[in-house]
Amino acid sequence: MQELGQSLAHTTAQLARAQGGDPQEMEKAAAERSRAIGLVRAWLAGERAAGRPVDGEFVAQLANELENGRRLLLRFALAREAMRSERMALDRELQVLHGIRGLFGPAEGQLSCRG
Amino acid sequence: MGTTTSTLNPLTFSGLSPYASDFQKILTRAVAIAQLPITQLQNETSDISNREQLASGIQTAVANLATTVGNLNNLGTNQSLTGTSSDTSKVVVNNSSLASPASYQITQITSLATTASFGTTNGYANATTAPVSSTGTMQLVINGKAVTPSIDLTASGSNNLNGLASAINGLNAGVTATVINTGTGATPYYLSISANTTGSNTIQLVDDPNGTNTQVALTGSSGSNADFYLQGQHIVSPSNTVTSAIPGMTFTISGTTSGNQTVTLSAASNPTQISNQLQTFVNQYNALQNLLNAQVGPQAGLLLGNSMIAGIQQALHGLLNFRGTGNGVVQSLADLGLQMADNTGVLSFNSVTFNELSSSQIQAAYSFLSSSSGFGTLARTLTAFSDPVSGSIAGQETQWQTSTTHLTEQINTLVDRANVMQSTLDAKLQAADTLIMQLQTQQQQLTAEVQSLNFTSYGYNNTNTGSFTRSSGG
Repeated sequence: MQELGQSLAHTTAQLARAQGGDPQEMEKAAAERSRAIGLVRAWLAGERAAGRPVDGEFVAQLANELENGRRLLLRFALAREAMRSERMALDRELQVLHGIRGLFGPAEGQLSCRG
Repeated sequence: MGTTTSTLNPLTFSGLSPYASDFQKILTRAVAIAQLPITQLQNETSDISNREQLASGIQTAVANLATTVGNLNNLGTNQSLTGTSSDTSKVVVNNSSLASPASYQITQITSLATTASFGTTNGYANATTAPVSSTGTMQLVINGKAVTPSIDLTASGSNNLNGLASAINGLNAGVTATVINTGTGATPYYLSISANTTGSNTIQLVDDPNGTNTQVALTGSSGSNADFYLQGQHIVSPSNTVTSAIPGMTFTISGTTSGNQTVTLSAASNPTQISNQLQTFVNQYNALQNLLNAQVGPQAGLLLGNSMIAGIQQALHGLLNFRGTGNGVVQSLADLGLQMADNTGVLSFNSVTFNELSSSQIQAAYSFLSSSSGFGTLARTLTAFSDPVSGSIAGQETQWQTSTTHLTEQINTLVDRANVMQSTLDAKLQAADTLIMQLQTQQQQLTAEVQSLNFTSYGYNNTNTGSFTRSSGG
């Protein structure tokens, strides 16, 4: 039980560290956390089936991990919003660049009507 | 007004929350985007475009002034001679480039040049099937000479009026054939043949020229030549517009004379032409000066400091202050009535001063304006600026075009860079979406487990916000 809790905490911390870095690392950390959650769920299901009560400290640990996950989600959302803003800004700047280029003459593949 | 550039430094976010670093990343990214030198490029592009526009306006104004200076020079050279007719109902002078005053008498205009025009005497029932030739071979004869080749109407459907008209026109013999429908009688269709130019010409049409050689009956007029006497010499011209009888003068005969009527053609000095050109000169000078003034001083435009502006101003100064080298009474433009307002720098033309010039003074004005090494050089000085190929303004525009090419290259590089950034961001966004979805699923699973445990162990229901509320079932 303790190992399960530690594994979950470890993978959450790993994901937090990977956030904002290499996408593959983040993907790997998220997958490991999913596995850790899967193990916790399986263990809890077994305990529930056996009618054994779960230690209150473990419950508190899970609640803590839930809160950590919520913070991570918020950070991911913030990072994504930043990327989206960046993408929009790029679109705008590309439009301006195309506009400036258009002042100098026809774009490639277009015919010039200048005599 | 030049290009403005600015450098953005990233703001430092000093918050203490766990998300401070995330906000910092957002700010840093925003600055990185803004550092694409687009504003700078926009400014440079706009400046070049505006400079080209200004230079183009100045180039046109200088070219106009150069033309007028050239016109004044020409008027001085040909002493402002204008061709006139004493009776424009009989003879009109089209143009004159005579170099000295002259006068010519035209008498006995007995005929004007007219166009030969004939029509078939007999009509035809229709233009499409009624045959016009007994054998299908005909011959057009103009002024007694057979036009070759002969007309071949043997092809199916061509031995008729339409076929004949088409064949005649295909000969390109200087005549035009058309089919006329009078709309009356059993044979309302006729062929009309007219010469394309004026002059006396006979037109004949022969059927079966190699056999029966039958003349097709034609009715009409053989046209006429213009017939008149110039300085007592008999002139017969197929055209009313006579270009070579008087070298340097073209005139048109427009009516016949009666009795001993004489029409006089004159090439005489006409100072009004000079005063008109001087007024044009003043208008163009002021227009150019306005353009130049807008590029100097505290409110100067984009051509401030451009050597081209100073060069043109210097040329204008030389133009206005030019003094002839001879001994004539007219030695400057001021002597012809041009004056500069002291306070405004605006040039004006005093036509009263000009109109009061005596004939000897006018002659002196011709000498002043005609000097090829004097006033005549000023047009060349201006053209050295305005020539669209070799002029210094064109040279300046070439330099700007080089800058434009350089800017285009920069823009292309930036577009490529932005495109790469776009692709990278798209991939990152896709990865972020997947990750967020995965994390949301994990949160939902954990939430469900924690809620379930709380309910089982303590009778509490844990909500998504992290606060606990008592379950109604507990």
